[in-house]
Amino acid sequence: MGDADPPLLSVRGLSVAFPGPAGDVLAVEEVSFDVGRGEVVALVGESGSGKTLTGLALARLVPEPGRIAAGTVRFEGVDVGSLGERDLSRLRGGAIGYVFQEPSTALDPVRTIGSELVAVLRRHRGLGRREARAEALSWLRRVALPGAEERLRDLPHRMSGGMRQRAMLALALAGGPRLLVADEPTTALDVTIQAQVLGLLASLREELDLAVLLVTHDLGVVREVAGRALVMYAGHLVEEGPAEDVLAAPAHPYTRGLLASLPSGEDAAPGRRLPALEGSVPEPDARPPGCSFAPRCPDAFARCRTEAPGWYAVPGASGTRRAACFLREGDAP
Amino acid sequence: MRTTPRTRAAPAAALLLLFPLVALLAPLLAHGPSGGPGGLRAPIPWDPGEPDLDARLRPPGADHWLGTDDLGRDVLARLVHGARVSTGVGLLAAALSIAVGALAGALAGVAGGATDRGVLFLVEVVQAFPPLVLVAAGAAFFPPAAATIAVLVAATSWPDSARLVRAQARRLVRAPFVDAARAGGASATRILFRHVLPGALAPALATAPYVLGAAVLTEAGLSFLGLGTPPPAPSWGRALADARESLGSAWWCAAAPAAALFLFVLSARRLGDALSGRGRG
Repeated sequence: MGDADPPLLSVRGLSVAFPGPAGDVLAVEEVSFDVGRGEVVALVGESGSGKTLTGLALARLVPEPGRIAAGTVRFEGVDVGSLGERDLSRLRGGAIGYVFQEPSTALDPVRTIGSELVAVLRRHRGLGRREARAEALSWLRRVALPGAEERLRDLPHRMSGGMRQRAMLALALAGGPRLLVADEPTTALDVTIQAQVLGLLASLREELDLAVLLVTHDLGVVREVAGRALVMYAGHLVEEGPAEDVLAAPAHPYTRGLLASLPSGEDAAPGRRLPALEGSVPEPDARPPGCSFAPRCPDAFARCRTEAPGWYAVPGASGTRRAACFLREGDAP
Repeated sequence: MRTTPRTRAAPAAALLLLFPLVALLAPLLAHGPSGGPGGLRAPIPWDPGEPDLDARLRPPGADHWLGTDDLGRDVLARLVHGARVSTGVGLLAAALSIAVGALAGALAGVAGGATDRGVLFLVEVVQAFPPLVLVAAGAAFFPPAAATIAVLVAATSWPDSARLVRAQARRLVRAPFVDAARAGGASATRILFRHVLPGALAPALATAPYVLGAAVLTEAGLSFLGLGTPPPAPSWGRALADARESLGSAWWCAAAPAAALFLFVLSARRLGDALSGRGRG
């Protein structure tokens, strides 16, 4: 790593463990990646792949009884693992903002949007009550919440899903983050609203020079906004590269399977079944030896079932591409 | 007819409200010819503490609507002033009990671990003792006063609201909005007071009428035993104790405070039932 200009976020060997009946179970295992300033990186995977936990672990938000079992997270050069409670709550919602999937449950039903925004602005920006109130209003306008002035005094249940997600975006951005972790930010929304919120996210990102870690299972969303893609399966990163390349020419069979299950122009004839990935992500305590994807992999061979693959460089047009698959062993970079 | 909690609560609440109202207005409602505020004539023209040895144990009549006691004091005047003691002790006890219980319960629910086990242990210790023994022992130890009784009643009744609030808090602390608040950098204190307590308080508040009723009864019981609010405060429990001697000849001395206690506790419990959705039909 270049000492002169460390990446905004640097994750090395991150493992998240949960206690199980037969010892610790690793829900996230040996995950390493970087996010640069202003970069949009998608963390892609099915439910249970560990992508959400990876996002939470960045600010030490792994829910009890889980814990970070190994690895380091460096944000702006500072080891997050070494921070005390006070610095940690400055980091959370300050330098790193979070947006969650369900705006209907992620907003406190008995607190108004205005009071929550004011609390964030006072906590992270050191504003006085009056300044914070004015700033809160300007944030609701920036996320284009209709009727911003009245919304300040509204409880979440008086707003639609799209409006709530805008409000949550305002809450996450008001603290002045350099990195926004957006966990399935549009999954709970209608398709039309999804596009609006994604558009808003993209324009605010540019305006604020914000880096975004977009945690999602939706490859369509990845195609639309991400610069780089990380593919995660069963707690491991399996592929990494520029989003365009990964989507155009997936290097890992898992990524290929995910892509194949998306409807595309030619395949989507009426009445024709879409190909689907058979089976589901194995539970963390029931992962097979060798490559975790081997049981579902159409290309698996004997070695995959006994030995876990390391990273192999994948030749590509631009940037670093790599995949954790023995099939890539022969590809010379 | 469909009854909602609100329609069922209304009559009980109205009756219950009568008691603090009478307590507040007691100095206006009943005072002697000289002692009233503003020199107004009271509807009950008797001083609750003024003995009249010529008018002992008079039965209810035109002068003394509910008769007089063994020292010739007007029973109704004492009843009206006694409402101050009972409602005062009851409300203070209920407020203390719920405040302590809610705080302990929410803390246990949010913090979990050793804090949770500690609070649960305390709850079990307090609930394992017969409350009257604890209160009576405390009342014998501390200076007798209405506030002492309220504190002692609260000290034995907080576990109920602590349990209720703890259960809610444990549920709420796992709610996505609490995770989101934590991800926004909210401190543990803020999460406890702003995000968990408001949502966890409702079931504890619904027990307030029960605590109120129990506190009023306990105060009366202690006063009956001579451990309660000291004279000259006209406590209902003391009136009952004083009435023992003359129960055969002057039933009104006992009947009036007994009826007041009965109505107070009954309306409190009816309200509690209505608020917690019990006692339908």
